[in-house]
Amino acid sequence: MPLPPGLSSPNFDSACKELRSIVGDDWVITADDRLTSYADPYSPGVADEHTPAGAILPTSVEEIRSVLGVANRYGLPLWTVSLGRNYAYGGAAPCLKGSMILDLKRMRAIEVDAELAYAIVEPGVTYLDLYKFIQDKKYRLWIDCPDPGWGSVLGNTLEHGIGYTPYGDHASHQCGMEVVLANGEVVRTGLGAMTDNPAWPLYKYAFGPSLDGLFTQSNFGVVTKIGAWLMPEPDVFSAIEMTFRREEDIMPMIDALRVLRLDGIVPTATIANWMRIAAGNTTRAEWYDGKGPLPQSAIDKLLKGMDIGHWGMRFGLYGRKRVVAAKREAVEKGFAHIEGAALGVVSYERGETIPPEHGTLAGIPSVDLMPLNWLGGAGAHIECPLVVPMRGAYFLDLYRRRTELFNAEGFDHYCGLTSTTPRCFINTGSIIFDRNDAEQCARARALGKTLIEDAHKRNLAGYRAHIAEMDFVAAQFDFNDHVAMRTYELLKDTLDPNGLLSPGKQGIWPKALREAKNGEGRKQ
Amino acid sequence: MTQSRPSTLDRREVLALGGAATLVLFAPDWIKSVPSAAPARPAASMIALADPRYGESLILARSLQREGAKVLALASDRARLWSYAIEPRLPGGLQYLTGLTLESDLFAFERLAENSSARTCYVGLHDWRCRQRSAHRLSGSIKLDPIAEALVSGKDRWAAKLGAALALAKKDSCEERRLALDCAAPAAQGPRFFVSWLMRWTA
Repeated sequence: MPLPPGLSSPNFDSACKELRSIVGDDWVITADDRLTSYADPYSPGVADEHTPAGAILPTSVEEIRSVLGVANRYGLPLWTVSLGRNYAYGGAAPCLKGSMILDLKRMRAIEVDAELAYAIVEPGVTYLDLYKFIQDKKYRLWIDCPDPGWGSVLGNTLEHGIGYTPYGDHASHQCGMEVVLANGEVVRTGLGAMTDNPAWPLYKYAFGPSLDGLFTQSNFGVVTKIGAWLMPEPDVFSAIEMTFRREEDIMPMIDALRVLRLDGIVPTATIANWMRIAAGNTTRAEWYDGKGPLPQSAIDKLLKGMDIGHWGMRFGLYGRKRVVAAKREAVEKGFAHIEGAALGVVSYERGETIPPEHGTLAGIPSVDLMPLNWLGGAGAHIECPLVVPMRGAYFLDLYRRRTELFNAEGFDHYCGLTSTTPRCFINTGSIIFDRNDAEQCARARALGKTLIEDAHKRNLAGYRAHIAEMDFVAAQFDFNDHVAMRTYELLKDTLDPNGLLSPGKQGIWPKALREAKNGEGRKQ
Repeated sequence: MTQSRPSTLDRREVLALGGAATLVLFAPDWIKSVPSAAPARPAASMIALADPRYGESLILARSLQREGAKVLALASDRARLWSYAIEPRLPGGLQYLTGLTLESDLFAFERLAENSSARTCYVGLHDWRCRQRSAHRLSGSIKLDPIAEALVSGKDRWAAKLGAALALAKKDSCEERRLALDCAAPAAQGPRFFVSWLMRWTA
């Protein structure tokens, strides 16, 4: 394993000895075989550039403060992970080779207030844990979870992760945060700034600036606790699934959805193209043998064989029985003008068992990685999801361009659109590849870069990125000579003057590493 | 529950049921006639996962069942299967989890099991994507020769032979071995890329 940058072997050994005295011998890991779980399992051939020096697993805020004391004295860089399940974006692997992973998975406290419908969770709590906790207590509450649901509630929220219920925008439903700063100070945001204020997890703002956003997708502190709002279990939940036959149907489909989203009739909605639907159920070899992207004849065969359209859309309707019925009527009217559109509804009353195919719409976490088998081999994917305005014609043009780019690199275009907010989509374009195939890895990475560059030409940006592309994506945010990044750097240098916390995350490097990395200042 | 028409977006449940039903109806006689050896392990010590969509996966699981393994069907929610059907058996002496599955299932179960000190001790990659030939790459810390022999001699019964070999797999050494084979076999109708694997818990 590599040494942390700037540390000699004896110094690193000495730092590890001190760390062991804080968390115990078993919880400082430096042996190669125990560090494999911190490698990026979906790395597109760049795993060696992101190898950690070791890992440390504290169990409390007090231990974290002590760890930070050691790290400050030795100049030991720490890469914070809640569970490290940020797959497609690097997993637990650090941006900076030789960082020590600060793994918070042993911090697993859960507290739920059933009356006011919120949870307070530590970093090691998974969506599965929280779901089970609520089920065991028989609370009439739903969580919202991403797919798959094995990751950390806190970690996913900090990364601006999304789910599929009305609470699908996780950062919007976070309220209250506890953070350990690099100097060891513990800060509570919002009303938590007042000792024992009972409204800390209830109201996002307080007296003065709102700090929470500074600690999401950032490296300004170590978040040890968040409040997460929970959804009351509805009387009725209807799972709506729609099919649209033709590629160009996406235009009226999006324009109709926008009206229903802005009216508050449809909450979070997800659209999938044929490839996303097909990969969720079958593999490519079942439809086509040749190399390169599927030709139109094979796509037509697939659409017919699976009896699907070019697009599918799904969302839930939730609430009292009459309200859901009225919403459904509005949905049927809203899409009635689109020729060939089909609508299916499955409704569940409170307490009914919801089967796996509708689980994510009801906040039931599951793990199903079927799309990764599309090409065969050891399936992996990388992502740089774009934020796209909800306009039909605009998106069709973007979709066709991205199909060209996927196909030019020999990949089929996997496209998803999730609207957790009513005015735009998160446009996922998963690049699925065989991680054991060096040539595919190289093509996947090249396509990832091309997609980011092409989006920038349209003044669009990704809201997340793989660790290998964080600098590249950050550099696209160019307004006023990258003033946003310069502001982040100002904050970084102030809050973390020794540059210990997650160096390079979201393209934010501490001063010493900025200078050492390229000498000329800003990375492009 | 009220339903106005079958769901269109996720057809997995329908496909899975269809695949399982087809196999039950049309399973060849030889599936039932594979000679049964004495159980290599106590019945409760091994779980074999079977993907009901794919005949090869069911055949391998069935051959392991004859050797004393408990067979569980892979549901579309792997997390639920892990939490409610596999993990609770660990205190009761479950030692092995195995199957012939899609690669993503090995990936998922390795991660679901990682906090219970599980270790994957064998992985076989079985690739028919070229149709005319198959390629198999085996690695692990169990004896690989019987597995290779099963694949070479198994021909169209390779899944059953592989299952029988896995049931008898013995710990070899702590060092990993890799063994690449290139054996002819008929092209499978399904995904044409499977992974056979064995995961072990040590006390």
